[in-house]
This record gives sequence, C-alpha cells and structure tokens, in this order.
Amino acid sequence: MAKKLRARLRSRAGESIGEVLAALLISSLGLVLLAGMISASARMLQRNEENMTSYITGGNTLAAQPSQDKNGNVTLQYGSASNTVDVTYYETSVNGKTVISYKYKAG
Amino acid sequence: MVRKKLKSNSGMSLLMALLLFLVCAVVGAVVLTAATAAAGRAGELAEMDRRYYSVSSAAELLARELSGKSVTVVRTKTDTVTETTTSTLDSSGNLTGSPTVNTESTTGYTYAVTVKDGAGSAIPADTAVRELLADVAIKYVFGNIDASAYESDTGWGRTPGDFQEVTLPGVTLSASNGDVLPVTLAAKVGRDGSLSFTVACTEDGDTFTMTLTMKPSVSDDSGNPPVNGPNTETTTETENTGSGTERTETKVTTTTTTKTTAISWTVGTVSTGG
Repeated sequence: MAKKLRARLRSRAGESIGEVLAALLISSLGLVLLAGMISASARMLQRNEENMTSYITGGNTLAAQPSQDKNGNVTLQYGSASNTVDVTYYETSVNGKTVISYKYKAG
Repeated sequence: MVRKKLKSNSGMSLLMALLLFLVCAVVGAVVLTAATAAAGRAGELAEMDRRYYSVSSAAELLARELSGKSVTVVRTKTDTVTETTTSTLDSSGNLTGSPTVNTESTTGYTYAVTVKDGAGSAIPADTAVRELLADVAIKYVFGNIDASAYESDTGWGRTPGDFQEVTLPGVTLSASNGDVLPVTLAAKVGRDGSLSFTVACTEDGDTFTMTLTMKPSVSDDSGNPPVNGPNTETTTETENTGSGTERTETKVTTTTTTKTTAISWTVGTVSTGG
C-alpha cells in the first residue's frame, strides 16, 4: 500500500487545464459560499444573544418590581356591575417592545 | 474504492469534488435555515412575554378578588293557614246558631342571597364581585331553571349541583394602562360549584390562554332543612249588625322552613391552555 502511495505521489500524470480551471471555479464558489454562511451565522448569533439578554433582563426587571413604576387601576365588569381595583404597573422593554405586568397596589 | 482511486489516472477527482461541494452546500443551507427559524422564534419572545404577563396578571387579580369570599343562599318556604270563625251573638251576648268556620291555606316561597368578604363583612350590591359570586351560587342552587321559577315550588325542590355546566356571560377585565394587552374572560360554573375562568390574550394571531379554577367549599342543609314555627297569631273583631253582634275570630298559623346553602371559594388550579 505504501509503495503504491509513493508511486502515486511520484506519478507525473495530472488533470487537464480545463479540469483544473473548473475545479478552481468550484472551489472559489465554495469559499464564497462558506464566507457568506459564516458571516450570516455570526450575525444570527449576535442577534440571538442580544434578544436573549433583553429577554432575561426584562424578565428580571419585572420580577424585581421596581419601585418607580406607575399606579393605576383595573376594572372588573360583570353585566352592569363593576369593581375598580388599584394596581401597580410594572413596565420593561424586551427587544424594543413594552411588556407590562400588574399587581394589587401594596398598602 | 481508495485502491481504485490510487490506480486511477482519469479526471474522476473533479466529479468527486463537485459532489462533495454539493453535499456540503446542501447541509450548510439546511443548518442555516434551521438556525434562522430558531432565531425568528427567539425574536418572538417579547410578544409571548406581553401576552403571558397580561394573562397572568389578570388571572392573579381575579384569584385575589374572588378568593375567600362566601355566599349564602337561603330558600324560605312559608306555609300560612288562616282559620276564620264567624259567630253571631244576640243583644244579651249569647251565641245564636252555630259558628261558621272557613279555612284557607297558602304557601309562599322566597330566597335571599348574602355575599361576604373574608372578614365577614357584607359586600355591597352592584359590585361585580358581589353580583358575579351571587349568580354563581344561584346557578349552583337552582341550576338551569328559569329565574321566574326560583321563588316557586320548583325552586324550593331543586337539589344544588343538579345541572350541567353553566356559562356566565358578560365578565370583562380592562386595565387603565393602554399598553396592557386586552384579555377576554369566559366564566363557567361547574356542577360541584367550582368557578373557572379562561383568560385569553391574542396578539398578531397568536393566543395565550390560562385557566383559573376556584375550588368550592359547600355546606348545604337541603336534605334536612330547619323548620321555624308554627307561629300562631289570633285576632278577634266584633261588629254590630242590625239583629245583634257578629264576632269574627281570625287565627293565622305560620310555619317557616328554610334551606341554607353556603359556598366559598379558594384558588384551586391555574393551568395554561384553554
């Protein structure tokens, strides 16, 4: 086997110039494609990381219920009867969108 | 194949390279497409969060508003027997002839609902919590019969829980903060007196749903209702007529029977999905 491999390596037989050019073309196309894919996946990774960071930060902010958030109310309606309940709104921004939760106003 | 390849002097390697390139390109494209789809889903997390917090806040508020409240429905049946005895007396005050006795029996039905908070204070009428819980208890006691039959023999004879699941329409929840996504509520009364709310929020065609079930605690004496009475009241009226005096004695006997059903709710289960 080693003999054959050495013989193959010493062989002067080669490809035609047309084949070499075609192979070069295909290889360069492949390289361009590879570069595009790497760049796209890098952008995707970065965007995903930003989204996840924003999501986790937003979730943490809502869970922490910061004191600077707004007071307001929520109305429960049943037929013509209603109840208005004082609540505190907790706001945060996740990926540029406002996310709000509310709870009974303490005290 | 390797042996053949080593022996080969033909341009097969070019075809192999092309094939390899094709396979790699296809695999790469598939992986990138899947990654793009996953990234798109991750980008929707904000919308999912908006729906989730809107629904969970509403469910929590409802649970807190309704938990610990109690409703008592008292059905009352009043049997009244009126016995009227009419006697005629002469001018000396002696009875002439035999007295006539007329007896009439009537039965009346009423019901009353009291809603109290956890501290035992009555919740004022015309508040949504009071009206909603009162309706739930009424549905539980009277079932699906027409409201006009509540105060009748039919209403008196109803066994609590003898009905199919009832939907209570017209329950809404609205927030003063316009950035909160609106939610829709569907309230149902179960045969065991449980009260369940399906809270849903839809944005951009996607819906998040949460179901809150309030577990009932019921005490009911329908099988052996307490009886009050009989209470008897007698009134006598005397009227002078041309030939003498007519005396009318009216005896009213009232017997009151009540059936009391008390029901209160605590938070049972909260689950996602409709």
